[in-house]
Amino acid sequence: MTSRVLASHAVAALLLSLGCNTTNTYTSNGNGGYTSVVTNGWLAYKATVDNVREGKLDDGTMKVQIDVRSDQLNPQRFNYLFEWYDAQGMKIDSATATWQNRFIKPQETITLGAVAPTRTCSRWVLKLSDEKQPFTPNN
Amino acid sequence: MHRIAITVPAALALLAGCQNAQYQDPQGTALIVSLNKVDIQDFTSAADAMVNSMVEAGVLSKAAHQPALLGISKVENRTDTQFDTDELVKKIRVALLKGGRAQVTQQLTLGNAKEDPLGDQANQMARFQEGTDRQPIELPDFTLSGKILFDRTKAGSTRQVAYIFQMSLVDTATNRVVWEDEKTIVKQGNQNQVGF
Repeated sequence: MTSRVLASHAVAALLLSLGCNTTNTYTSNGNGGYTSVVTNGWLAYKATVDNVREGKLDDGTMKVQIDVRSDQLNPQRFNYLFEWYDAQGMKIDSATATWQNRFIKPQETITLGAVAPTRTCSRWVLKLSDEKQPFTPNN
Repeated sequence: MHRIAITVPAALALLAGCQNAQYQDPQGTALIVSLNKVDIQDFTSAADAMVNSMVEAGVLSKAAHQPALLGISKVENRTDTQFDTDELVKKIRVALLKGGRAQVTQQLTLGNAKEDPLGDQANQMARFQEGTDRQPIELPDFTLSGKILFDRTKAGSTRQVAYIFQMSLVDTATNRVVWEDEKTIVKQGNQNQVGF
């Protein structure tokens, strides 16, 4: 294990022990792009949004695919949650919305996808949060 | 002396990590991850994958009825733990109903078991009073069925359990499977843990 990896684990452990596991939020701007609020640098280092693709199903339901990249040199885990909003900015609750845990390999880009819970949804929000503990093969 | 008798056990309890019961967000990341059962977040995650896949396939939006009329068929629990498969099916139903994509019919049910017997009786009475009781009943566009399977294995002290959720939609007009999907949830570790 390189000293860089050890250092990054130490920083992560320190941040988590201090309760700094804040959420990074990516919000659609309604024109196929997004804005981001990154409050957790360590998390952004292992899961950062690279690219967004928005589309519509035949019945008009919105669909989104988001490429998430890891700049880490070792495997990582993170949690994500999609939220949906209508044109008035009202949150649309989904019966199946839940934080999901995802594995990402070193320097890998993965795709997170979601379909809007109703046809009235016009904007999405992707929330990323760090896993409970820094990933090791044994936890 | 009294003070010591109270303080020492309290300090020991704190050291032992005693934790008072508290509420948790059912959608959150502080839920228990178990190696011996399907957790509530597993059901939600599987239901989410199934609803997304079903909606993306577009079969519901092409049904004769809009929203599509759904009959609930057999959903089997073939795991080694006991749970009500409604923990999965109800989430799928609620998501489809709230999304305006499907409604579940009580007219045709498995084994004629009515989920709401009074609702069924009221419907029969209404049909009788309106003189429509001899007209054909409304059949579902699709029936939903599925299985939940499991696979358990071990390497040294590391245990692994996989829960495999399989669901299918059959078009009642053609008796063909028009959509099916599978979602596998794998959990690995030495013991259950709080949070993920």
